[in-house]
Amino acid sequence: MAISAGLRSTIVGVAEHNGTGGRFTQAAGAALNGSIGYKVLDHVADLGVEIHAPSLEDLFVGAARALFDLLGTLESTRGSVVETIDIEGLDLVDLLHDWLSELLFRSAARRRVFSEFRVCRLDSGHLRAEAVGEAFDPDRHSIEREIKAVTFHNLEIVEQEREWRATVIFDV
Amino acid sequence: MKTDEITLERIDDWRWRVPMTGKMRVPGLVFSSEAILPKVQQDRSPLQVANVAHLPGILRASMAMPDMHWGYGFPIGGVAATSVEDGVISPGGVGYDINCGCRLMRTNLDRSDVQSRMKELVESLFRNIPCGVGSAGAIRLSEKREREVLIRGAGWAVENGFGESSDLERTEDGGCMDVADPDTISSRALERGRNQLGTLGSGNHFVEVQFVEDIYDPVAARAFELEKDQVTVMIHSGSRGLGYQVCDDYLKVMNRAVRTYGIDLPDRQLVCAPFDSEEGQRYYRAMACAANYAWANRQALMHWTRKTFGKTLGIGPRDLGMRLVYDVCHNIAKVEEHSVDGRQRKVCVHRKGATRAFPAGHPDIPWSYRSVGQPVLIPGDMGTHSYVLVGTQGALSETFGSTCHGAGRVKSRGEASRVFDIGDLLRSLSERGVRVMAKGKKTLLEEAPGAYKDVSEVVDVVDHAGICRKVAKLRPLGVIKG
Repeated sequence: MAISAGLRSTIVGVAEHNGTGGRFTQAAGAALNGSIGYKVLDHVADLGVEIHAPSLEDLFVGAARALFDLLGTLESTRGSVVETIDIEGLDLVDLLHDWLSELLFRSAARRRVFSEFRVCRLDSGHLRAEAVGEAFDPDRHSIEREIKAVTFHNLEIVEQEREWRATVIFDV
Repeated sequence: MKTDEITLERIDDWRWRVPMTGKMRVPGLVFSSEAILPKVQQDRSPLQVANVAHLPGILRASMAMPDMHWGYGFPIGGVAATSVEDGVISPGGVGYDINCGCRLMRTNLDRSDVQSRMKELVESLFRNIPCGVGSAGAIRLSEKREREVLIRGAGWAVENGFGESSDLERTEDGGCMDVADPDTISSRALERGRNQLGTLGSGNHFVEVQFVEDIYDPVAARAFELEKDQVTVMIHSGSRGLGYQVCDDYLKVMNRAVRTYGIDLPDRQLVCAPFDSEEGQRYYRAMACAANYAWANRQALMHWTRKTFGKTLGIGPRDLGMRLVYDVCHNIAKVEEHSVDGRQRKVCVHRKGATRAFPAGHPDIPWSYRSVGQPVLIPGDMGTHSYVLVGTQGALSETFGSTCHGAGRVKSRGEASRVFDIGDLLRSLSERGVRVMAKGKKTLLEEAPGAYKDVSEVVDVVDHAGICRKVAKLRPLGVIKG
């Protein structure tokens, strides 16, 4: 019986570099990694997470970190290529869905992995954020599972006693 | 309907009704057994059956097969037919992995021909068939070529050297839905699909080498060219990232559409649009593109499987005789003609984790199977049995020609990872004589047999209920997974 970990795949793609040029708001708590976290929720067919953070911006950072942690590449990603993501949405929940979907798309279609995230601007209709990472390298990065999509199932953002929580279910 | 308590009324040993309450337009019909039902009630999927019954234009009943479990809006194992005139189409009734499906190939080989060479065979398949997350296919597509794949499906693959035209006749819909329109596909979906054609994927996708352990229906088995101890191969795969993106894109479109058309839903995930609306038609055509991509994909995977067998065992194609028995969809919406209340009507049948099961005589099945009925392929969970069944008149009358698709999960992936041990799993597979090669250890645990219902129980329900009939039981010899 042989289990071979890691991937044999060809990287197709060119590393992008997006210059800065956005306006930064005070991303409070972005460095407080200790208070941003997530737990996995039991779900019969899919994979759910509950993310918690001290601020809304941190919540979006935490959700992105959870995504790449579930993909299995968070720890091994080292790069410093910055990509900017600009999204317009109907509300915060919509923005959260689209933020994670965009990251998943760039990972799946453009072979990118990210480990650092910075929220530059976030309000109920608009998100501007940066994702820092590198091109996927099969020798260093190992994807643990395929995440097909970010679902709308139970997708919610809640603020309770100065802590922000979000629930996201991924289709796997 | 936000009630937690759903009443299930026993109709007979294999059928339960969810009675119409509130705004349900039709009752629910659940195919199950006394043994399986408690597990079904645990994940509350009957609530989803009741919710689906709210869809505008739904006909006869909101149905669920015995492998049912909680899904996105619709339960997995759900079947719902809506009128094309005044009913809706819903992406949740198809699923993210559009045309996830299964094909079975027969060979001239006997089990004794391959038993001692399984290690080599599995290793060769693992090497030659791109699998695992992030794997790139061997088929390079420009945007122009990709659009051709989306239009022509399995036919494109055959035209480009992957297999024979005789394969197409034994594929559901000839491996191509001709309503496909690449203009309905987003550039993101195209981008996601560009490098994935000819990849197996991961999760519950696999290529499995099997042998025929039992024959239950000799006449049908003969028509399908199956006999005892014969080596078969089953491929389970879908539309990869292109399909997932199409579903995601159109869930957003439908989210707006329900407001535009004033559709009142008990569950936000049942988003839909009238079938004959612009949104509905665009989704249907985009879904068809993704379905065609999946058929092209399975055709390519089969081609490489044929080549691998030939090369590894040192036999030519004629001696190998690896012919397609059939290819079925498990996640799809099809426009079909069915008899409803005594008259023939065009309906949109959503099958989400369900399989078409047309009977003998139906014009949509291959000529060589017309006297027995359409093959139905039920992959078991990893390392356990799979089944070949045949469609019946019972299915056509009761379930819009539909039946189950597989085993259905009972444990969450988290639970499976906690409860199962990789060493024990591999040992138990080895004891059963099954060679496994997998890219992802985590996936292997999540796909452990104990995480699923017993497929034999599931198949017994549909057989006893008369919506299909057992033909053969297949046992695995080796499997590759992503």
